[in-house]
Amino acid sequence: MQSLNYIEGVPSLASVQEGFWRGVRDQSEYIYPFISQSAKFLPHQRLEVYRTTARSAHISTLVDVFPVCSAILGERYFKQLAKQYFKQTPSLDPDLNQYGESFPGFLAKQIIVRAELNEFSYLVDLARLEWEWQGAYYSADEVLFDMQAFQSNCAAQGADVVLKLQASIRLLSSCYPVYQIWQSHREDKLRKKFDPIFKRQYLCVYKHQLQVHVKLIDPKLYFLLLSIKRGLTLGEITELFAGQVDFNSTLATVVKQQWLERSYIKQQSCGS
Amino acid sequence: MRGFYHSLTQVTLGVGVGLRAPHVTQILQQQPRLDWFELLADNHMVEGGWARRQVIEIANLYPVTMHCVGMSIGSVEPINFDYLKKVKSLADEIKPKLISDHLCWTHWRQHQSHDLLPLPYTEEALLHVVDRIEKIQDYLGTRIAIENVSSYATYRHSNIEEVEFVNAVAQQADSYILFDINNLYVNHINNDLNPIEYLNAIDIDRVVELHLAGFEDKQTYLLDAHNNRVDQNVWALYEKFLQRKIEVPTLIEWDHAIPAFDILYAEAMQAAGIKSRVLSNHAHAVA
Repeated sequence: MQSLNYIEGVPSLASVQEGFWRGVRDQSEYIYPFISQSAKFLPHQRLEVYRTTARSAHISTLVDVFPVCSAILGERYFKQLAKQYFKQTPSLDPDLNQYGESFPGFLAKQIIVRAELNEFSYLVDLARLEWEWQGAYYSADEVLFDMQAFQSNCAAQGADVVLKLQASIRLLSSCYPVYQIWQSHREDKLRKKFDPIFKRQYLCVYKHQLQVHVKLIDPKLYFLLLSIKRGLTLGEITELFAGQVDFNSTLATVVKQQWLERSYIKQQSCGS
Repeated sequence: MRGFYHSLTQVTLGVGVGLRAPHVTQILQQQPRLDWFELLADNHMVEGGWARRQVIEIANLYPVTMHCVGMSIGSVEPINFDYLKKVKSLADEIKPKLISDHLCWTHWRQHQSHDLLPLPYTEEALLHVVDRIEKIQDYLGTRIAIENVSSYATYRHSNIEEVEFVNAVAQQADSYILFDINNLYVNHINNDLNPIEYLNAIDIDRVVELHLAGFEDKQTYLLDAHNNRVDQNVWALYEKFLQRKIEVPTLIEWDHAIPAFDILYAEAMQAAGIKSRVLSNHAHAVA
């Protein structure tokens, strides 16, 4: 910012807001001469109130969204990381609960550059789990799956039927025992050191009757859910899993868990 | 022509408190004698879950108002209609008696401050804010109330007094005023604003709701932290305002270090007691 624009001798609203914003976010001093002052409360002190408030709000949000990561690292250290993340990552959504989506990726970089975090590689997947938990919590409530409509769709054009998962469903996998880490924290038996596991684990995060659940699931079920989530038709899924999955029994599990929202027949696009 | 929600003053002249998550279960179970609740709309503008469900249950039991923080009424950036759509969706569901937001700006470019940033009080800002409020009211299909904000910075080039600016915004945009008396006191200390002149000058015909809250004394300034009981000086200003106009609903806000509901309730009862006293004095004076 080079200078404020003036309209009839008065700094324009746009340039004042830019100057103030840069003062709050980037520590710029350009706005100081335009701020009123008193002997005991100078412009830089006044701007500092806004800086502190903004920083605290964002950091508190990250502590709330990633409570297990915070507990493992210790709140003080976690807040240092959160402060650095805040400097690099402004919030883009008026809903502060949406802040932190890229925090797991930020943690991944910190684990590489900070020697003291070398033993905490699993935190990236744990943070992803915590982010998905929050997403499920605020997602649309579950809808009763219409089994009759599903059966009618299958009878009409089974191969073209597409299933839609409940809005809360989130899927993730990890080579660390993130489920056990997350669970141990919930049971107040926090452990800090975990090694990678030989067998990757697969998780489904979902909401049922307003409560968010995390469930370890079979890899076959995971890939079936992933295929459904990606909008594949039943025909495409059957082909994909041919000979590898007892499709009907796995699908029955999905129905029983009430993870399906609805079914519909995919409209074929007309080729020229 | 705009359709309007019923004005809060048509429903209740009493005292309410801000609805906060730790109290919801107790409120639903015990249904305390309060006239209304105000919800921080942004906390409930989610697609589903307990945060949304709880306000629907509260709205079935009490009159409610929606208090927003994200309209960014004074921002030079385009109006965020995605945000307003969420406000409207929640309003359609819970039928609030009033929707309000703050006379400030909260974002620049795509970046959100999640704080209430101060406007300069100039002719340009006035025209800009009025235009945006009109658009927002047209979209929501109702008048909204605009709250005077607490601030830690004012601009040297402001050439309109804050109270004149607030009045002019409300009059020209045909909106209401949510008069926060704690913010008035905070600004009195932080910005040398004269609270009595302000109280006497505010357009009382447009004031439809009062806010009271506690601040935190930081020695060189007051932080509008909403983490304390209402200060004695703020109670005194409240009583002074009621002597001008008593038919205004009053709300107690408490957002940080949230206490047991009973403490919040006691603050509300203190406000109700002051109202009764002023009303009684007024009746005696008339008699």
